[in-house]
Amino acid sequence: MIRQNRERIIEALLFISAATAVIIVMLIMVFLFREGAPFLLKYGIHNFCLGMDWNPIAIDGEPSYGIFPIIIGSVYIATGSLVLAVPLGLGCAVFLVEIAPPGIQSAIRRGIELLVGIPSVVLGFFGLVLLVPFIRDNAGGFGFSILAGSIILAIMALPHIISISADAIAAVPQTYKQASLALGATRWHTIRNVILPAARSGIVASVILGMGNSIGETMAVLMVTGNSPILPEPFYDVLDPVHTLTANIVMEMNYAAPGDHQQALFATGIVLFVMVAILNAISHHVLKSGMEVGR
Amino acid sequence: MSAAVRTRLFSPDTTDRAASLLLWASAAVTVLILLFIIGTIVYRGIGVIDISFLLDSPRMSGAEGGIFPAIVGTLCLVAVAILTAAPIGIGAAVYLTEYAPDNAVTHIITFCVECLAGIPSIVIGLFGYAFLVVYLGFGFSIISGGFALMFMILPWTIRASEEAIKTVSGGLKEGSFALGATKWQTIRQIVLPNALPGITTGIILGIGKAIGETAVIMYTAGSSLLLPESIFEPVRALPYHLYILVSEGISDDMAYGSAAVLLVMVLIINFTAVAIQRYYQSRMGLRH
Amino acid sequence: MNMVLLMLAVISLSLFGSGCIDNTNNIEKTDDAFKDIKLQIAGSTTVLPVAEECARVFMEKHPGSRIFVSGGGSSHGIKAVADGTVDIGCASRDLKSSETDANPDLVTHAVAKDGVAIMVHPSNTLTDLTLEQLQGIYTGTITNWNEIGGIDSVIMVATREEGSGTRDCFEQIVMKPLNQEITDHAIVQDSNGKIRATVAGSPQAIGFISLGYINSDIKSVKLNGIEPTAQSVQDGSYAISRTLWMITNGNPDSAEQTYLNFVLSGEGQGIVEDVHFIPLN
Repeated sequence: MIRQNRERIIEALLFISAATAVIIVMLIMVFLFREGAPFLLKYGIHNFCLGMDWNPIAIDGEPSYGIFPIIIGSVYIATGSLVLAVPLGLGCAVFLVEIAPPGIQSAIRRGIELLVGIPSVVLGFFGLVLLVPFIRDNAGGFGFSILAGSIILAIMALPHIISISADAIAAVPQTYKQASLALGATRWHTIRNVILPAARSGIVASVILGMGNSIGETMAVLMVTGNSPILPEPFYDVLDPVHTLTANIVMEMNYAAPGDHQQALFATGIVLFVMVAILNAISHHVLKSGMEVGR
Repeated sequence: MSAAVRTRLFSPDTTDRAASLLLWASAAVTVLILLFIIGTIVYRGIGVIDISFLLDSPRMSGAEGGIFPAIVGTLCLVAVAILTAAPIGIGAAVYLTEYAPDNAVTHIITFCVECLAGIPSIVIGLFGYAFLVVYLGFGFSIISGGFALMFMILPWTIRASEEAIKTVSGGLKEGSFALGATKWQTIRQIVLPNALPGITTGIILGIGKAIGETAVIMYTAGSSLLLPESIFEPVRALPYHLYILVSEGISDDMAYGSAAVLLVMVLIINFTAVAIQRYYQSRMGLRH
Repeated sequence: MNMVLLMLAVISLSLFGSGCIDNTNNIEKTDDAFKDIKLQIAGSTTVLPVAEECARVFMEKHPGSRIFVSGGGSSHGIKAVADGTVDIGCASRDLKSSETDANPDLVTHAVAKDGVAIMVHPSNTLTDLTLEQLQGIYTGTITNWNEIGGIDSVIMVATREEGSGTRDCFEQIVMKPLNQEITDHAIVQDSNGKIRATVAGSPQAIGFISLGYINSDIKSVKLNGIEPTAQSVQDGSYAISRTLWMITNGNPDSAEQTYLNFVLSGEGQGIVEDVHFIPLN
């Protein structure tokens, strides 16, 4: 009886820990919606999300709060960073686990863990003084660009993608690998057809977290993207400056006067939150169906 | 085997070699980025680091003097964050992997964990101000900043621990159950020890994220340069100090010096964590 | 689980051990008149150097007093002082009507003046701009340096973020007469340090910056023939200038007044000058 009670209490405690995340997210939602929703309804969700002009402090006439170009900017930067970071990170993770000698492996992993601790403001500063001039001189444009933002974010997402994927790959049972090699498969075939599918859950988790990180990152990105609230022209020009949702909040919140401007920034937070939720829902779905096929 | 047919264009050997090359290359690129960034920080920062830089308080907003209060502030904030995030995170991970039924509640929990990871740090900071600083009345303080950091790193701790726990083989667990152990005994004696390396990774990543974070703490921990006398007093964290140095253009040298110190702190904490993990593993006779 | 806990305990002990060993017994040397002074200040990062350096010197002179100074931005400072979270808020812009309406008790105290200088890359041959040229550049009608006598190169316009006190000050003088907005194509940065680094790294750039931040990385240009200096801001001949504020909720209490008196004293205003702002008188 006592044993059973103890087990039940422990299960309850564990459930509470798991529920903490839900409580925090709920509280953040309540807070965001309380501050931003009245403005959204007043200004119109449609006008806000699809409006082309962000001009919260009008010198002449009515201020306008359109964030469509800013939403697009966030999408560009997050996609760009994943396009760069996922292949590189995954390749590096496979290398660490399957190819690298143990000494090199642990040296690189310690180094990568160190990379997480570099404050984003330092990376942003690097981007500002080194990467931006480099892009300007070699690729054209002003240097403040989608490309610069994607590269900086990719560097920030790399350690997470590598660490978590490497753990997942290392956890694939040796027997799988041995069986595949014994059947005459080459090392690459084994990696591609046995190890990566078996480690899929961890890899997808790392990519989802990396993506969340990319969209939510603030301090570094705003130093190198130029923050011009306009659409790139033509739309595929990665050398054009863009503005991102997070930068919009962090740059203007410090000095925005209470009222519409500040509420519009909270509303930007709501949009960001909804975007992250949608992305997570999609990747959940992909992950789930992927696992079913894998079985 | 369809994949094998599709790639018949090149012989398996060629593909294998090309793939190896690509993997080597991706690791090389990562390492080069790493070396370049760390190298530059150390190279530019080493010049300003001496005993007085480490043990003095900043003067003229950081253009002169040292960074001692910021080092103390960072350590206090990270300690609060990790001491709260680790138990909750590991507990949540155990629940999600070992107990959670496959139902709507569980899905909501997983979903919220991922959403939390995607919430921009600035939003967590603003929420922290409204909730911890004003509503709960903690004021600008170590405790407000530490909790806000915990909100940020919690999903990372949960996900990494979850992945680590999932990797513990079913055989070990079944053996334990067969010997009459309860679920919790099995988790405590078998699952957690075996999952330790992955959990450590999660905690290290959590510490790394917390130690370098600016946006979360600027509205919650304050940025006072005084040494704190309790956890209810404000502190300045090193990355925020750095942020002020860089964004107000006060001193690039001091900024690089601060960044180098921060790197060394991360390094020391990481090595400590890994050493503790190794110690336990060798004592338990576990090998991974 | 034990070992996980133990591991955490060790990490945390090592963290706390190194962290919180600072309970010095400076209570003994407390100056009676000042021992009760415990102030929280927060707000504009522009005003931060003034508030912080004044606090440091103040505490040195009056052991036992404790003044906590934080950044966060003007809006944050005004909100925090209205909320009662801090005693004094700092702002680098004037209060907005929405702020004074919501919190009619707020009292502003001018602590320093600041000018906003126009800057270009040091390699730029231009030394002087007229207001009309500046307006043309910032509205986007002048897009190449050769239109105003420079080399053939596209102009990269750099500006501060919406809501910034520096931008507000610039817009009042430069953009307001035209009733036009700064071009959407401008590169936006959110601090003096970043906008300076932006212009310092781009030969084709133009930007504006708080006067105290001018250094050799960039070159300030004259506006209508007048050079931006402390002198020309103080006598009003240089047009683009603003006031830095400290704000209290209601009239300052004795502790707040003591600190504000210090900031406004000769010594405090000397510190203002040391951190590159312009004293009130």
